[in-house]
Formats: sequence, structure tokens, C-alpha cells
Amino acid sequence: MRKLLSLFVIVISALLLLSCGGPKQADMEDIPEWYLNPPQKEDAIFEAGDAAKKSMAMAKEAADARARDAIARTIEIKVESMFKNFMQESGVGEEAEALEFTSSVSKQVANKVLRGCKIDERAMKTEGELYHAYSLAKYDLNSLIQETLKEAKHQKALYNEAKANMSFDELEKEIEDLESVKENGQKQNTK
Amino acid sequence: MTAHFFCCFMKRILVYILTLSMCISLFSQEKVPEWFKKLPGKSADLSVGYTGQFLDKQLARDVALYHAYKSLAKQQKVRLIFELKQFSDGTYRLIQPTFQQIYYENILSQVKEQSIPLDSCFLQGRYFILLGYDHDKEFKINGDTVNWGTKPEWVNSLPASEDYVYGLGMVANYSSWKNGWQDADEYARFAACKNLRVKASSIRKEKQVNGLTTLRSISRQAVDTSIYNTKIIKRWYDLERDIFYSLCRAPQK
Repeated sequence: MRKLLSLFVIVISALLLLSCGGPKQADMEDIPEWYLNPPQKEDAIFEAGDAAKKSMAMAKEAADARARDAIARTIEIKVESMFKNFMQESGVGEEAEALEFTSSVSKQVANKVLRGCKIDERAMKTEGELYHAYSLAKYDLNSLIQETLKEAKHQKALYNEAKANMSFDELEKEIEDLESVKENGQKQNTK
Repeated sequence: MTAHFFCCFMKRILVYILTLSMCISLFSQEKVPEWFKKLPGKSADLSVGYTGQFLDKQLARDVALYHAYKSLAKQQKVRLIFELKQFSDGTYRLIQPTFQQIYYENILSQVKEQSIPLDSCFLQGRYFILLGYDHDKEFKINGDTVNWGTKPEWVNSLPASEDYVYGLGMVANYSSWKNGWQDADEYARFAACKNLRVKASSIRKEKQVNGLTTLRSISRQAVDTSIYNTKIIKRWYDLERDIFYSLCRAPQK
């Protein structure tokens, strides 16, 4: 009986010790293939995100948010290169104004609304007490093009409006005054 | 003498454990109405109301009915406000999500006046009610009860459609059955909304100190929009892992 009791105590102690090992790391076999190698397609952008939390709902929210965040960053890079290519092809690539316009547009798009950015795949694993969520976000390139065009039009309208509203009257008056001072000075010198 | 007493005590404990586990396994083979698992009729305005375990059937019905009314009102129009902020300094990550939904009193009153219960049942102390309108009677409603069955495909991969966008809600380890489903349903609604549109912005800064690169970032994702005709169309419960899954469908436009 004593032997049975001691065996019982040993088994319980071993189980307790095992459970004190801290959060378990994810096994490579458990990680979804699409997380390690997100799919590549011509008409869509894919980005993956993951999060390990005690609450399943929170793990899912965080993983989704990270995947969408990665999409937003990829869009910023893609839009910037798209605009630079366009500007270079149209022969205005090196103009400072054009570059500024490019940068402004890409930032606006990345920091604005993602329409139709869907969580395409999802996996939930358990690691000890934690839930490890993996999310794969998909963003349709057509949405990106539409969004970029819309933003570019908006920016162009703003630029034109700003240019139209700019008042050069005061600046022109200053220049006229400066020129008259100059002319007077030259006359005095010739005398 | 002591050993004999100990053996008897252990046997009794074993019997209790076995009985309890049998009860749990019997209880976990729960059945639900088919329309709770899968909402019938693609275009019908149907909603499901449910309760936790009640002894008083009449009270359970009232609670389930009110839940169904609210659900139908939210289905027609709901304003969803979501914000998720993440701060990361390379060592720690903080995440702060907030969820808020607003449904409209005038729609709720209208729903109360015009909708009718199409089917209901009282299973294992829980009341289930299917609410709809008069014109929804033409749909063949199957009042059978079903088991949860095997894991459906939509749990891992959302259905693809040009007309609709889908959202998955999932929660685990809820002590309250009703709260588990309510939260899964609401998370699904928010997920569908986020798949439609979400504002994403972030600031990231990389810093190199002694060859170590740290990345500090602040990111924010937000939604504040009113959506129409959203429906919880499917539910699945993972008996083994105690996970509640809900699938919400919202029109693309």
C-alpha cells in the first residue's frame, strides 16, 4: 500500500513539475504552411500574422490585426513603387514636386481605409495555457488600384485647389518694391 | 484497518469520478434545433433567440424571445464601433481592443410589433426560438434536433462569394453556454464588418544600438460604421475543446 502511495505521489509531483515549464513553444509541424510561406498571386496580396494569448478571442483579434497591419505596410511600399514607375515613365520622375506628391499619396493610402481586406485562412493551436492564433489576410489588388486612383484624384484636386487659392499679390508687391529700391539705387550710383 | 478504509475510500472516489464523467459525456452530446445550427432561407429575415438553463419554461421563453427580437433588430441595422491599438517596444507588446455596438430602439419596436415566432423548443433546460415575419412562413422550417457533428469547412476557411462577406466569431472555455454563443455571434458580426472595411494606420521606428535592432511600433485599426442585413447563418460547437464558432454573413454593398 505504501508503495502504491509513494508511486502516486511521484506521478503527481512529476506532473506538477512538467506543468511548471512555462509557456510551451510552437512545434514547427503545428505552424500552418501559409504562415511560413504566404501564397503569391498576381491579383492579390497575402500577409500573415500571429499572436499567442490566454484568451482565444483576444489571440484571434491580435493575429487578424497583425496580418492587416502587414497588408497596410505592403500597400505603402507597392503604391510608392507604382507611382515612381508611373512618374518615371511619364518623364516627370525626378521633379521634386512629383516625388513629394508620390510620397504623400502612398502614405495616405497606407494609413487610410482597407476595403475588402479579408482574413482568408485561420488556424488556432494550443500551447500550454495559451491559444496561438495564425491569420492570413488577403487584399485584392483591384481594391488597391481603385483606392490608389481615388486617392490620387483626391490629392490632385486638393493640390489644384491649393494652387488656385494661393495669393501671390503680396509677394508680387514685395518684389515690385524691391525692384524699385534696386532701380533707385542704380540711378543714384550713376549720378 | 487503515489500509482497508483507504481502499474503500479510493473506490468510492473512483465511482464518483466515473459517474460524473458519464454524466458530462451524456450532457455534452447535446442536441440543438437544426435552425440554430444553420439558419434556413437565404433571403428570409429570420433570427434565433436562446437562453441558458432555466427551470421555469415560461420565463425561459420570455428571455429567448427578447434575445431574438434584439438579434433581429441588430440584423436589420447596427452601428459597430471597433478600435484596436497595439503598442510594441521590441520587448513588450500591449494590445487594447474596444468593441461597441448600437442598435436602434425604433427598429426594435417595429420588430416586436411585426415579427412572429415560427418555431421553438425547450431542450435540456434551454429555450430556443426562431423568429421571422409572416412572409417567411413559406420557408420550410425543419424543427428536427441535430448533433453538432464534425468540424465544418467554414471554421478554417471562410466561404467565398461575390455578393456577401463573411466573418468568423470564436470563443473558448466559457462557463456560461449562453454567454459563449452571444460573444461568438457578436465577434462574428464585427469580423464581417472588418472584412468589409477597416481603417489601418501605424508608425514604426527601427533603432540600432550595439548591433541590436529594436522595432518600436504603434498601430491602430478602427471601424465605425452602420451595417445592414447581417445574419448569423451558421454555428458549430467543438465538444472536445469547448469552442463556440459562429459565422456571420453581410452583403458586400
